[in-house]
Amino acid sequence: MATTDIVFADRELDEIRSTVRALTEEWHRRGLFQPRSDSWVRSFDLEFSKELAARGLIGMTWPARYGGGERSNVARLAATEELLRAGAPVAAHWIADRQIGPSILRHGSDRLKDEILPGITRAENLFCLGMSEPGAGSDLAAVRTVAHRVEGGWRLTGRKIWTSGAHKATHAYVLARTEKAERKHDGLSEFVVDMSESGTEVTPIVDMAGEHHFNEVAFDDVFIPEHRLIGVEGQGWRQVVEQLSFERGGAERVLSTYPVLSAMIDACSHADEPAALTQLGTLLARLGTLRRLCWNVAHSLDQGKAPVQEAATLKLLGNEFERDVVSVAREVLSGHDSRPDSIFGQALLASPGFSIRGGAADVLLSIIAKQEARA
Amino acid sequence: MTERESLRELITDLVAAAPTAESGPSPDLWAKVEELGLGEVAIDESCGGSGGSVEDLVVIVEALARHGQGLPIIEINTARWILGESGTAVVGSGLATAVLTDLTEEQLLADGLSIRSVGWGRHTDLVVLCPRVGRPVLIRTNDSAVEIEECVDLSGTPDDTVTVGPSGSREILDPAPSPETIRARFALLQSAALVGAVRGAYELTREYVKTREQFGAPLIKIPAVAGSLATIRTKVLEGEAALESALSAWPGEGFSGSTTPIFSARVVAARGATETARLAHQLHGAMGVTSEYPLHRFTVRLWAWRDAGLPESEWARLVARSAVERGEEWVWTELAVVSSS
Repeated sequence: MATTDIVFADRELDEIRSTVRALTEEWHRRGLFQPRSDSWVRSFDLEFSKELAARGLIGMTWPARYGGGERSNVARLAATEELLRAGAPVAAHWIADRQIGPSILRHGSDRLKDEILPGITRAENLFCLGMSEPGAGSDLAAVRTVAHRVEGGWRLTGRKIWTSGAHKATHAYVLARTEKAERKHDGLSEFVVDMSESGTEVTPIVDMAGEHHFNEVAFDDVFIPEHRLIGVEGQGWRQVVEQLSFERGGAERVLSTYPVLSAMIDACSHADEPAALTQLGTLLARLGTLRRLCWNVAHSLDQGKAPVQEAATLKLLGNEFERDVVSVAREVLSGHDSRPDSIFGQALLASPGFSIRGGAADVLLSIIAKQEARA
Repeated sequence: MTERESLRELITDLVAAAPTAESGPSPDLWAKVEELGLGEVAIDESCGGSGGSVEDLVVIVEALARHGQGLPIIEINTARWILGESGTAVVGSGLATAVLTDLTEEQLLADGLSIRSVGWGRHTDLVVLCPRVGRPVLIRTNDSAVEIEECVDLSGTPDDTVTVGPSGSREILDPAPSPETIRARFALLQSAALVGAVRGAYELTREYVKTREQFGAPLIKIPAVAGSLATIRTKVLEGEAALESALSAWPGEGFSGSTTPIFSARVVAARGATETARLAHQLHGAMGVTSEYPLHRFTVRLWAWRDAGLPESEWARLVARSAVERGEEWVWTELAVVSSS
């Protein structure tokens, strides 16, 4: 990059950060949200997502034709970092913006892109992820939900589970079997399903924090129009693996418990306890490096590379960090509020999920190891 | 070839040409490094240095460590840099070393002193004592009131205790870089050494588990082994990312004043050293603990360097104290990555 380009790029990032901060600070001041951990899964406010949409902060990297901002992944990172830092209510649009939009953009037909993407950037099309199934556990390819061909499209039957936000989503991304194959990874296809279509039923699953974001979703002979197939019929597995390696590399793998870290910085200002300061300083040091790793992943994507090992490393180290923030808080914030809905309680109760979603630690290690054995 | 690559290649050639020392630094390699002026990189030519950037120096330090070499380049280069900045002749005044202390300038000037962990002390003519607060103080080892008690660190490198009697003469270096800046330069270079040695240990271990056969196949075929190697790999990536952040906080001409990313890199690199040394030994089995096999060249240095200058925990507290003092928004901004870096 030439020097003038760099200055321009940095100014762009500063502007994005200021825009996000102005909004989150105003909303916080007006008492419209309480900063919380895991806000990208658990804090839903459609009005807030619409405010972001109005500022061009959803679909930031997508083409203007689809309502996107044609910005870099590095620019998007500046926005997502600031939102997570604030613990803002971003769950409504997060999955569509991070994962399904980009997937449709890569594999979808022109018609599907025109139909779905602009609505995502306006925070009108809200997505949930229909991947896992009852009885399959983490075996994502053990898909029993079936889509069979009918005139003008498909009919979908089956059940999906651990579907965050399904009760509020307008659309579901669904991985379904379209062909019986010898290898379970073959014969899968990806679809966009209308949640208002008849035959769709959502049942809440309340988690141990007493919160409702998970659901079980049943599809009973639900019609999917032809053009709602994402990409190539039967190539769903290859596409979903790509989608997952992409979603791993974001700031939400590092900053899910940031509101707790922020509270610890305040708490430590009252005391000069060497042990607490050592732990806090170590966390901050790790945070700086993790933010650099996020930036590296975003920068690689901007250069058209596929930073699979880097993204897996980021998620592995990021989840460790998120968990350690909660452990240190146990000491540093001890004697403070430990109700389940306190800043500490929310983070602790959410923490088992960190290293389950998007790949367990051992799975991530095996992804990194595979590349080590190869070269 | 980029400038970084050619520097790395130069170091590879130098290491290959020098005989390996039984313990501690290789005198032949150090002589060669000095002869080529590499120990004076990133010091102004007007002060008698070799010129070049701090980035060049980081690459040199990292490359030496990657080959399992521990030279006193960090202490000596830093001493020369401080002397140069203060207008003291770098060339012709003899060999100088520098040491971080937890004393103030006032305390360094008080009656008697006993300073531990002076790297390379016994071989030097000048020792720059760097205070926690105030200006650095210079002492001369030929002063009759100065005594050197020889000691070595875990890797066998001279790490002496220097005592200065009440009559020992002391010279305040003024103008001189601030204590914060001196600490940052130490931290940056020590991070480079740690990250280089982590990479070296990783490369050696990777080669070993890919070639060594047990149970009828290369060790890497065992999932637990592959997982441990992958963990070391994450420490390499983490350390290198930390070092990049530290380097970008030290831009071109002067020092930006942003020490948080640099002290942070020092902490992250030290943590990575602990984990890497542990796993590298685990994967090597008994072979790794012999003096014949080269793994110890990396691991004892990783252990020694984690707490060199200041212990890892002290660097962490430096990060925490400024964060607590100035608040969340300040430290968040300090730790942001900008495109220009």
